[in-house]
Amino acid sequence: MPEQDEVQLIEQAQNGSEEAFKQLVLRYQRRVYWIAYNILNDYDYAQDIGQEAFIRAYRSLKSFSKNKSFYTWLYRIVVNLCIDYLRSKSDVKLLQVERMQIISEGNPLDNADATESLELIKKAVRKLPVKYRTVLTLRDIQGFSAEEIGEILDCSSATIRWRIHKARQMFRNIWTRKKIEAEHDE
Amino acid sequence: MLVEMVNDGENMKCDEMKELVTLYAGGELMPEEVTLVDSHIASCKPCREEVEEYRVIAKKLSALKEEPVSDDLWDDMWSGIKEGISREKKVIQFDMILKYAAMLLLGLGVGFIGYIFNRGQDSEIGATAEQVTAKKMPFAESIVARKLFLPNEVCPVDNKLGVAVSNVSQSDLARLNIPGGGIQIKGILEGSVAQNILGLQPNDIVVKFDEKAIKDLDGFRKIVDEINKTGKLNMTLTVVRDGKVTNINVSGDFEGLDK
Repeated sequence: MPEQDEVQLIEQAQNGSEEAFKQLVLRYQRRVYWIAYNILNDYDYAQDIGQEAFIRAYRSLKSFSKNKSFYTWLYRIVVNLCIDYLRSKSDVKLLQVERMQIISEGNPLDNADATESLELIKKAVRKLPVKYRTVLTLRDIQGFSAEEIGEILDCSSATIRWRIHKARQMFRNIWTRKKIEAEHDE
Repeated sequence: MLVEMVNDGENMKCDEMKELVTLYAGGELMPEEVTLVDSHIASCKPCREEVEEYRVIAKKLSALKEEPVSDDLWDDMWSGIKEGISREKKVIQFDMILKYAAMLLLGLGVGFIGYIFNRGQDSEIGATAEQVTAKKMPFAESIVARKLFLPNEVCPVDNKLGVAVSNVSQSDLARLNIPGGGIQIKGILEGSVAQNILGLQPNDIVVKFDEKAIKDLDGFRKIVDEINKTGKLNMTLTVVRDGKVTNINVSGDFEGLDK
């Protein structure tokens, strides 16, 4: 059940209050951004799609039933945008340029191994087919429950469970292979 | 299926475990499944190691949840969103030439259509496409020939606007992400008010008139009645066209609609 103050915010936003909508944005933009980033693995696209998700939410806000869960509706929008975007790319590989993880504190050298291993994980995630990548992102990266994921993706819990299983299995195979490749490169 | 396994864990074969080990560390298993795994891995090293591997994977993946970023990113994002919202609010203005051209076509087209279809009658929602055709005047054959788009099913028709409409299917609503519903333009007459004044095209889905959501035919009829009564047009239509949402701003009077 949505909290009362959120229901009020939504109501106000539906009546045209930009300030109320801004509050909703501030509340959810981090999650929206990181969900998009985890699926697309690109900081710029994550920002573009994150923005677009909120704009679309604003556009459809009037027809949103304020007693439903705002965030599952919102996250569904961003996930669908990511999926649509990846489908439009079809076989073209997304993100040719590797981006260095920005480390704000600490000696970069200390973190070199961590960075590399994190990049390897991201590479492995990227290799997953979209529907497995999405489920892995929502469950294992972002930590949503299977029920929440079912609502976001509009799938049965049996389907979600199966996808989580396949996604992890596939990820493990890909990641193991990449680790071996990385060791051979050294 | 996973829960139908009757054997206790110890007697289970390792490949029967395959579907359970991935979900064990993530906590997606039912309590009885957890017990099965527990008792199996108590005596099976390879499976125990596999379970541990998935535990490690879960931990590593959760580290991807967020990265340190500067607040500029969020400010930037809000600016983009704010701009997008303003765009949504802005009306698309017809420029003067288009308005005058519309008025001209209006004088020609609406009077013509008004004569053909109205003959003093009220709008006929519920008529089929065939009935509309049947009512035509002798020289209306040319209208049929010029029909921009003929609906391929029985649809309610509004004669004054010159459209045939239908509800939007649930699957289309979901696919296009318009949960609030809408009205799809199935047929449109060339030179009609719908085409020239409202700027509608075949297959457009009208979702809003002036911020009022159109969920179904009744909602559409109410708006149409309003237009027909007052003869004044000053509204914004929100339509979904080729998967994109567009706003059309319409303004002006049109005479001759009720003649």
